Amino acid sequence: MPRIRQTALARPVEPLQIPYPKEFKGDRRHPELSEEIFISTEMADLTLDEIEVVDDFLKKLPYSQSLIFGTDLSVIQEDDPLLKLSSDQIDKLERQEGFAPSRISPNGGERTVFERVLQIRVDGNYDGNGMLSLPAGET
Amino acid sequence: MVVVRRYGAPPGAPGVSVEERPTFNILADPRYGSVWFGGIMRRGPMGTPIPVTSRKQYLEVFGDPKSSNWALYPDASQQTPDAVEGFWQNGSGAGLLWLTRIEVDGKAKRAKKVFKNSLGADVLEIEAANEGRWGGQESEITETPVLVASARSFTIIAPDTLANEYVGAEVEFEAVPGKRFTIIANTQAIGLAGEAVFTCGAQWNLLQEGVSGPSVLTGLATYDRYPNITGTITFPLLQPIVGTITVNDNVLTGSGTSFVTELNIGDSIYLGTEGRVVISITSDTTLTVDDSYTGGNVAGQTMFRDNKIVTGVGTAFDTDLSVGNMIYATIGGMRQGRTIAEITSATSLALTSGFTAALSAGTQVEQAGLTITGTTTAFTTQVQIGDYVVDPFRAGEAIKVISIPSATSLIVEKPFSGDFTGVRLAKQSKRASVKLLQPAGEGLAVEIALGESRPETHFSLRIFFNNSQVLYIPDASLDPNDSLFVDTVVSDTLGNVGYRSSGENILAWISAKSLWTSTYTTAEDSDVRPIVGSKALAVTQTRLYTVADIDYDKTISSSIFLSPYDQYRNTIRIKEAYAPVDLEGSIASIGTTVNGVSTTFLSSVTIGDYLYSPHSEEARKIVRIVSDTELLLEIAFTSNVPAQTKARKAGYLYVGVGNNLTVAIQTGNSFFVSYPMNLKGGYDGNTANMIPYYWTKYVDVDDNHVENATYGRNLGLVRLAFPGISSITVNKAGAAYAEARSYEFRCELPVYLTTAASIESYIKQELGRNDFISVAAPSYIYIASPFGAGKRMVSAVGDIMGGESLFAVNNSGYHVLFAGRAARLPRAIGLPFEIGRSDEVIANTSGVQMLKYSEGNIIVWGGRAPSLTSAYVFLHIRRCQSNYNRIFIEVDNLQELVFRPNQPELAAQFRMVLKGFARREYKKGVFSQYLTFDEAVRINTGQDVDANSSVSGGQNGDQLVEVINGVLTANFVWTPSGIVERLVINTGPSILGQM
Repeated sequence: MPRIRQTALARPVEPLQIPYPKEFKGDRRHPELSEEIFISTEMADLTLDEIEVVDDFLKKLPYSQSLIFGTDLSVIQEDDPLLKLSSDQIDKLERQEGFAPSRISPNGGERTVFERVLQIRVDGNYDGNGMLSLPAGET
Repeated sequence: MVVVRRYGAPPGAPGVSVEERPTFNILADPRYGSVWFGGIMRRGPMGTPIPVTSRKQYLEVFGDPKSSNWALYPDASQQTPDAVEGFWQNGSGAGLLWLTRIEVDGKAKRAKKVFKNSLGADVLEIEAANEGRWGGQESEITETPVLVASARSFTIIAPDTLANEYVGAEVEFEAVPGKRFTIIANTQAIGLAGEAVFTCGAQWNLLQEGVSGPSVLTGLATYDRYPNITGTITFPLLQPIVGTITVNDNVLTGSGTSFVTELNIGDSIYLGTEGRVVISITSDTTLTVDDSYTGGNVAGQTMFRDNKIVTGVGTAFDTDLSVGNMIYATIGGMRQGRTIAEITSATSLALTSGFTAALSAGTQVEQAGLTITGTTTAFTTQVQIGDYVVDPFRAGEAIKVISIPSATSLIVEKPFSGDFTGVRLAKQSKRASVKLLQPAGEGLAVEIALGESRPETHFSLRIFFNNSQVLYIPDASLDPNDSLFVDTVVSDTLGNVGYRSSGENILAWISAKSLWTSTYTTAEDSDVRPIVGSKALAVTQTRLYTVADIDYDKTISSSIFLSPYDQYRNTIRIKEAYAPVDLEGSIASIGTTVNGVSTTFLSSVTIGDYLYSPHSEEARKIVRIVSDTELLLEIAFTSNVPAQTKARKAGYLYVGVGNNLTVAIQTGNSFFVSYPMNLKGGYDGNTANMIPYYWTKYVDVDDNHVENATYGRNLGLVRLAFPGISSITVNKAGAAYAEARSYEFRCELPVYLTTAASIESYIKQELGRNDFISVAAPSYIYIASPFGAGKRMVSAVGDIMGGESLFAVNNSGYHVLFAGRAARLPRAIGLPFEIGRSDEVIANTSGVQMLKYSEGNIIVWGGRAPSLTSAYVFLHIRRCQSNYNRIFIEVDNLQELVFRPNQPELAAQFRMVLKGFARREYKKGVFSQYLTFDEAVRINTGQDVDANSSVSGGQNGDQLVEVINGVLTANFVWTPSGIVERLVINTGPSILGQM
């Protein structure tokens, strides 16, 4: 499933239906259902590639319009390499990348690996250039 | 000529008879100016086309009768209601507007509420007439553990949650008590557990606020979903009934039996293996069954009943199991679970119902796993009772911890979704509560009171929408035999009928369904009417004390019926209302002294309050508060309150000084409260994630949505639009449907197309030219915002089509275009762009009607269509032809000729009908009046009697074949009047002679 980001028009002007560019080869939210992207001031689920299309389209409008975002959905793929890390390895990654330490939960105890990965991927907007690599043997 | 009726003397009899022959008339004019809009709207029947002729009627069915603005979307997410407003404003009452509120994903829900009666039974369901938040949006997810939290989102298990159902709701986290965060989006429930992700507004960072998902526990944990029970069990399928029984038909007489205690109505009794159902138990020795046994009457028999007793060997039922737990046996390869009703000893327990087969001695059975076993865990220090353990597979809900026997053992409240072994558990102590509240003064509310003309036996229903009464049902009953049965009286009341189609009422406001299936009685103490009421616990001059299950805040300004069974009109207004309060701890009383355990009397009650005893269902005035654990009452309860009783402080309804309730109602008397109660749970569907299909399904040629609704109503041309939708897919589908059914579809151009060249290219390369469409550029206009200062961009199709309807009605047809200086859009205050004068040639020849500024107005400038053929370059010609197509196929006059004998006289009649119609059209100016009538329109029937086409003349054998084959053909060829598009003036000085 492609990475989805909740997206809406920032200004209440009009709902838009935006055709995919003919050469579009990116991810589609509904590949079998639509040749257009429908977007309004309600949060729609769009892929990052679709958001690019919308962003380009907004520049053509004769009035000012922009996007606002909710959260990312299904961002953690089952085969996400970060999920295979131990909590100690995530500590190391956070130090390397300069992310805020996420190990300790405000409720007490340690956060789950899943939740820490989510924060790194979403809040840190970290894509690891596609793959994570830690030096062998490091923990 | 054909005879259709005969009167008087029958054939062969002397006398006078009259034979009535068929007559004819010219074709009736259609209802000019008919328009259909499809779009997303806030209210109205979904997926059903409804005709409306005025804004008032429109607001009754699709809006708020008290506010034309309510139907609009303040966030501009949908534009159909704006276009409808433009249609009314520019149409000046002309035309007929058909509206279809489109259904998007099929998941929309109607708001509803089930009303109880004063006996506590569910008796009446009131449901909004159609789907959406308009009927009431209130919804809630209570105290659910947070599974994941990120800066702006959190995940909880919330099965059945629909996409964006909770937009606008507020969430409160236990981790951040007292602070509420607004939800801007939510996913539908996904996965096995039904997890839903909720997104909060960007102004908050949940992590910084202290919200967090679960935290991991040290060590590894193992859990068995179905652990074996210690020992083995035996379960016979049948159990002998104590004593012996004599069977006499269906009456069983016992000796030494205890039918009353041993059996229940509905149990089965077996003679051998033949079972009969107990239908009544008269005494310990007499009962009746539903039928006699096939073996006949017998005496002194040992009979059997279904066994529910499980007997153990080496078991420890009393320590290992609890009442309410499940035990499981594998029968025929399937695991069967049964609930424990009673545990008698370590080796005996009773089930609520038996297994479906006997289990022989030594059978191993399982129980529901409630124990987590740890390795190197520290449950006693890391977990607390009340924490939730997250399902390690995220396949089920998080389960509450109810006991922590040791560092390596946890007892949970319910089983997990499956086994797990050697996993790291995560626990969550904090929960989230999501509440979507009903904005004050909005939505549907129902107020139920005594019947208007029959207060002793009926009840009334007042329906409020956005705080205004919209419907009143003065008398209704739950008795299906009553002429005022609530189900039918609600659906037949005139003000509740939005439209009637195919013999069915399409309701505008509510539908009602009686849930009461027993005898309808309305006497005091057995009144089943859905009116909220109770017995007065205590009455003072200004206060009526009660613990009735009512929404106390909403009763303010409503009425109390003080004596509902004799003085039906004796009501008084409530000025203040205070709900009952559950008190902490438990109480017991001896005489007037009340003693509490873990109570906080000093802070939770005051002298003068009334303490309620659920034991005696009485309230007593508190006269002294001795301590947190001791109270003195003015009068003792009728019977002392037993220990461990949960106490409540009674609520009260206050009617204001100057009144004296005690003259109208006494303690113990019945009263009713009548106040508006909101419907809940309305949902519009996922209107954020849209696809073209949600629109195109309404212009599918096979589904034929519009024609199916309008056929036979002689509407002539119907012009269609999806206001605010410029989607190529949707517009192309609309054009195709218009062509298939001889309608016109008004397309919209995306607003980014701001030049004539780009518009021409868009039409030619993407939208496609089509005779049956019209299109204006820009397709959008600015109007003064109906919500306050500023402007609002709306689709122009409503304004344009309203003007077209007005012109069509004024001129009895479509030969006068809504274009030019008179074709003003009065509410338009601006355009997003204007096609320059030098580009007008491109736009005009592309078939685009331009919107432009003229003398301070915005006008429609252009009369062409993006036509494919030269015959239909101009809109009015296509419209006239389409109008004729629709008239000819639908009009009754022509249908009357079908199945008549095909004779020259009928052909003449056919021709005359058409000529009569054409003459009137000629007078209107539809045909060119530069020509005579006979030149402008040529009408003949193939079987005409004129020399050139007469069959009788023997010149055309094919026509005779047609006649025999049931075909009567007419030719109707007309020369349209042209319109002036350009005025050409040939001018110059005549110095050298004539030009």
